[in-house]
Amino acid sequence: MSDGGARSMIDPSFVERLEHLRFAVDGVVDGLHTGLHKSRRRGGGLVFAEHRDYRPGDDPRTLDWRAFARSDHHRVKRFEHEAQLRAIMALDISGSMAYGTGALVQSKIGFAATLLGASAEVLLRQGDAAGVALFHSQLARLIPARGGHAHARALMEVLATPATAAARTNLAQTFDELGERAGRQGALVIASDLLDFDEGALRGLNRLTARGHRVMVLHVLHEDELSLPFSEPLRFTGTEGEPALEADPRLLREAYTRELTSFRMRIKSTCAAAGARYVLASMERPMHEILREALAPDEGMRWG
Amino acid sequence: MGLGLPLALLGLLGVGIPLWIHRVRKRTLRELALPTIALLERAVAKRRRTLTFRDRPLLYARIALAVLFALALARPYLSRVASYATERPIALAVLIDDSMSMQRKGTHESLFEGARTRAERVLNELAPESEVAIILGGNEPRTLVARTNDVPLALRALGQLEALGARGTALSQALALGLRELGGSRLSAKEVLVLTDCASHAGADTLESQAAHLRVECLEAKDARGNPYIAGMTLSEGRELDDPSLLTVVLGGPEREDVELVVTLDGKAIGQQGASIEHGSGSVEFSLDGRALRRGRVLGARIETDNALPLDDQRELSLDDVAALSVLLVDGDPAPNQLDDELRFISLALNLDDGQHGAPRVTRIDADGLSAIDLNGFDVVVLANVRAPSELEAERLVDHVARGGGLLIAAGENFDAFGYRGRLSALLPALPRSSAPVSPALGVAAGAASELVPSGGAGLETARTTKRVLLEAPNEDSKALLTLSDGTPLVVAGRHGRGRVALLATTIDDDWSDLPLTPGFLPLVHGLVRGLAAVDALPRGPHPAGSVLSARVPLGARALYLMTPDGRRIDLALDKPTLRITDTAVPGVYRTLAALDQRSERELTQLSFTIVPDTRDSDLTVRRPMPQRERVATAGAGRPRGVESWFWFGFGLLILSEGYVRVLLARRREASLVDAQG
Repeated sequence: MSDGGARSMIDPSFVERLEHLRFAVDGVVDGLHTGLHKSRRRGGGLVFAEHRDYRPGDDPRTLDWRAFARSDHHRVKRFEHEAQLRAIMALDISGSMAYGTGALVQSKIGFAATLLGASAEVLLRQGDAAGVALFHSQLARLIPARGGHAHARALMEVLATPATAAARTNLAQTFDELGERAGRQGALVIASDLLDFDEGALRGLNRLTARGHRVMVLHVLHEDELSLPFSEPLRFTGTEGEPALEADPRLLREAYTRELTSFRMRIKSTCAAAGARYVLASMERPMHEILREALAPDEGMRWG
Repeated sequence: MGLGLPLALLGLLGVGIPLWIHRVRKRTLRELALPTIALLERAVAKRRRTLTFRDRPLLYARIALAVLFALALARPYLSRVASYATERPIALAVLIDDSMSMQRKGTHESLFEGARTRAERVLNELAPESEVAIILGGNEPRTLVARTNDVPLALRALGQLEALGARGTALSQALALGLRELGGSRLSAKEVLVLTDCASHAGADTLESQAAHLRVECLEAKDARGNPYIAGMTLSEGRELDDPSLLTVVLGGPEREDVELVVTLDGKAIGQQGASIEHGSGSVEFSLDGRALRRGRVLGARIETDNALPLDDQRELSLDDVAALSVLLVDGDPAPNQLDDELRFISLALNLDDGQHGAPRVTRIDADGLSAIDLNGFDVVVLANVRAPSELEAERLVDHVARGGGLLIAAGENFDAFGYRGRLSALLPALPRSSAPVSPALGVAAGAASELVPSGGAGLETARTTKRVLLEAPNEDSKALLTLSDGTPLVVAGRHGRGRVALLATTIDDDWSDLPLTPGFLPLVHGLVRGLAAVDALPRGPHPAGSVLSARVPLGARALYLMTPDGRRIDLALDKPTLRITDTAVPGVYRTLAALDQRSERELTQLSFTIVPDTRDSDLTVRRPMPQRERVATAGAGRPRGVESWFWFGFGLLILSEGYVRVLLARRREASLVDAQG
């Protein structure tokens, strides 16, 4: 995985830190192509699954001669089919993701795109297929999951030049569309600030997991949003058309932090209930730590 | 409660300034687009202590300061009572309305008493060296205290002041009087304070002054009852003594009211009747026994129904023929036809009313009857072309004049100059000689106005005299009042004893001159008759309360007394030729008594008169001055008694300071909270 031209958004030193990471999902995936992941199919994999009696027509190469010697029965060995994982990297490009200053990675959308690019890098490196979806109030663009260098370059180009739209976030609509268009059982990595306060905004997660998708939610938040560190009265304006608000952040910091924590916990519990994985992608944290947390097997939580 | 300068309330628009500052200050806040603003709003909703809220005390303090600033400029006051407590001395004229309507009941006392109390309070407030004059504004206006810096003296005069009578109101004349008093003051601050009930007739709303700051204070009456009053009273006597007389009482007052009316004779009720006032007026008639209405008695009427102002509820009518002079005309050349009558012109002239005093009572006799008639009953005797009085007649004429009677002698064809010289030389102002025709006819030279010829000969310029009696030079005490164009006397007058004598050098008819045909004849005859009479008759009444009546001092009177209706006896000053009667505030019949010698005293009916209430003052409708005129505020004196401007400013600054302190404390508390959280 060294096509650096299209992936210049990712720091090479950061790429080195991804070498030991592996994008693994618990359970089975569905795919025609052979890969690293368990498939509901049985086939030419390396992992032994079961014995069964030989039936005419079976490939004689599958006969277990050792078993025949011990039991005088012709048995064939069956191996698990290791399918290719098809993952969609869903990037929120709503107005609120434009927050941040300076370099691309210092904005929320840049940070999220980098995280998704690194995840795709990991996937592609282990032979899985990756695609990209851009959404705001609806699904704006979808590049289906594929493997290969050319496809990888195309993905990185899309993720390297993210542009926010003025539209507001509509997670319910987006998740429904993703569920319909993402295909068979695969993985969905959603990077978003999830600033959709509608009552049923995250119910779409249930439908996604019900379709067999493994869903990982990267909750991207700027450190300003996390701690409200301002030290002077400000006139706050929204990023998605909210009315302005004049307030002294010093007076409101505590109450705001409580509200934010409550908001995050609500999302986290919703994700857990739906079987999705929730990772807080705070921009003050190093990206590789976020990815390590995101890609690490979680024994306590079943996802996928 | 009110405002001295209501327009200053426009300053309340200044409230917009702190609001604008607040808005501007808000606009200067740095803007920040925060994606999680929805969460911030929720935090604000749970914790209301936002920046906006914290700054509100300051905003409110600034608004309060702006409001108080505008209030201070508007000079609010709780009472219309003005303050005259100044640091610098002022010249103040206090005009106290002492008219009849001021005697209504106020809150605790009569309006007049309230005005007096108010004046006393104002005088006590004045700075040292202030000058004060007190003018009474009832008709006629009077100066109670001439301008003085002796305020205690003015206070004493105020303390002794009592409202007495039923005067009308003359505020504008009183204001002129007050301004005249202030005119001589060297003090630059000149103030006039008018204390009145602002009744519609008072014209308080029309008072103006450029010379001094004027302030009108309207005292409010507590009594809201209507005010029926007697507007007039006339008596029609029957032809015969026994015939009933008809008394008509005219009423005025509110739109509609029923009253009970009582008629009195010398104070005793002789009749009572109800009457209705409709549309502000009404009348009632009483039929009275003519035999009871004898001379010297006083007929009265009064309203018994209780109402706002009792002073105008009664009137009196004297049954004396108070105004008429009695003149005896002696005809020395009687003629069978009226056209040739010697007394034709003078009779016509004396029968005419001069509009003020009424026509004299005239008695005509022939010269033959002079010896038989009692001259005591006549004020003036006119001898017209009488040959010459007999010894007896001359003696009686001398006695008549010596006791104060008047005598007018007119020449003629029968006039016996030598007879007059012989028998009346002590009496005559100039001795006559023979009569002589003149050719061409002589005119009358204009003369100076005198007591006997007030017109000064005006209107006689066209008269032509063809014959006259030549007169010798007048005596020491005598004077030629009119002369002919050749310089010879036409009318000569002199005194004898207490009486006066006048000699006309030509005829009183048109035989020797066309004097009776000229416009000046009527005033000449009336002037001579009234001037020759010992007692001048007052103008015909009734007179409104407060009128100043003038008359010539009666000849030969040693002392004069005025008996007022309320029983007071007032000495009248005789040191000036003209008698002035000013104490006429109480309605009723006034009788003048004269002491002619050491022992005798008699009533001079010519100087008796009737005073009635000024019915203009019976209309109690209030017409207040415009507020700005009523409460014109100047620097220093006369401003409404309110809270001083500096108090409002100080109060505003206090509130502003309070706002700042609250904001500072809030910020300090917030800083400590932030530190604690950090």
